[in-house]
Amino acid sequence: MREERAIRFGRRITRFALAACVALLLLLPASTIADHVGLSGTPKSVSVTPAASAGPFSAELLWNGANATSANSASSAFTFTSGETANATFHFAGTSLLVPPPAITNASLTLTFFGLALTTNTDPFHVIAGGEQARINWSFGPLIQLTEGVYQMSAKITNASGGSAWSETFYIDVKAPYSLESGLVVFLIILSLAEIYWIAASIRGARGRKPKLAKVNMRKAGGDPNVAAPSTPMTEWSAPGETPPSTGPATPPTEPPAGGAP
Amino acid sequence: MSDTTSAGGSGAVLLIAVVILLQQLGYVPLTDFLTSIVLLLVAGIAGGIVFGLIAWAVGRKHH
Repeated sequence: MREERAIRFGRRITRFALAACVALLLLLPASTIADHVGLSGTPKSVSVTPAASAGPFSAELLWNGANATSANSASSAFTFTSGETANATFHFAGTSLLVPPPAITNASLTLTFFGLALTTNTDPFHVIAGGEQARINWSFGPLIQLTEGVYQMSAKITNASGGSAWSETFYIDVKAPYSLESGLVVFLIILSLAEIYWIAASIRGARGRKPKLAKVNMRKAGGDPNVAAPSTPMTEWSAPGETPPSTGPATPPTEPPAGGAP
Repeated sequence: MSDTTSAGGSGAVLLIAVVILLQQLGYVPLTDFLTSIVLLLVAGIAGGIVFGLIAWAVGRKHH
């Protein structure tokens, strides 16, 4: 009985912890980043549509000196460690001497998670030799502990009207020093396994108690465990030291002599 | 019945947690909303069905 109560209590606790952990894990990175840098809404669809009168151009993004096209999948993501400030450099240049490239104004980087543009950093372009350049510094600060994992970044170059002149997506893999969030997930997995163990224990307990005890009692009685046992007669309980009641023929109580003493 | 539903729920949570762990380890990017929701739903439903069926089968065998 006590074991069953403990199992039920354990299952209730693990169920509550499981629900709390799932909610926390889904909400934590999103709310953390959004609170820190401001939620900028859902990402707009990006299309490369240069103006009809604009000439051809080349654009690229360097993430800490490496071209962003090399991190176009989660498996080849740029690693982002604690305390690091990444330097994203946009280069833009026209490739035709006859037709000028489209006029551009800003470069922006957007971190996307679960369909939400969690944060956007923007920097204006300035003219350098051979084209235009924009630099954006990117860091998570202490909140990197809560944003562990792989995320998609969208780089975009916008024109004066806010339209997209060029865009590219790449991935970053954020590594937290103590892996607190991964530890939380592993804890959640252990809780799930514990819950499954409790269920298995409860099924096993329900199976083991009744039939096993009956069979053991039958074996002790020397009978066939597969045949129902005859009910044993109730015997009177005697206190220690007293002789048990005899099972022989009952003797009539001796009556006192009729005459008595003269 | 209670054991079946409990095992199904635990299995769903287990597989959802595995998907989140894979995201944190850098294998699965949960970027697009629809893709992420579908992935988590598929993991949850698959875990719920598999572990629920296991618990149902075990319970049926022993009760």
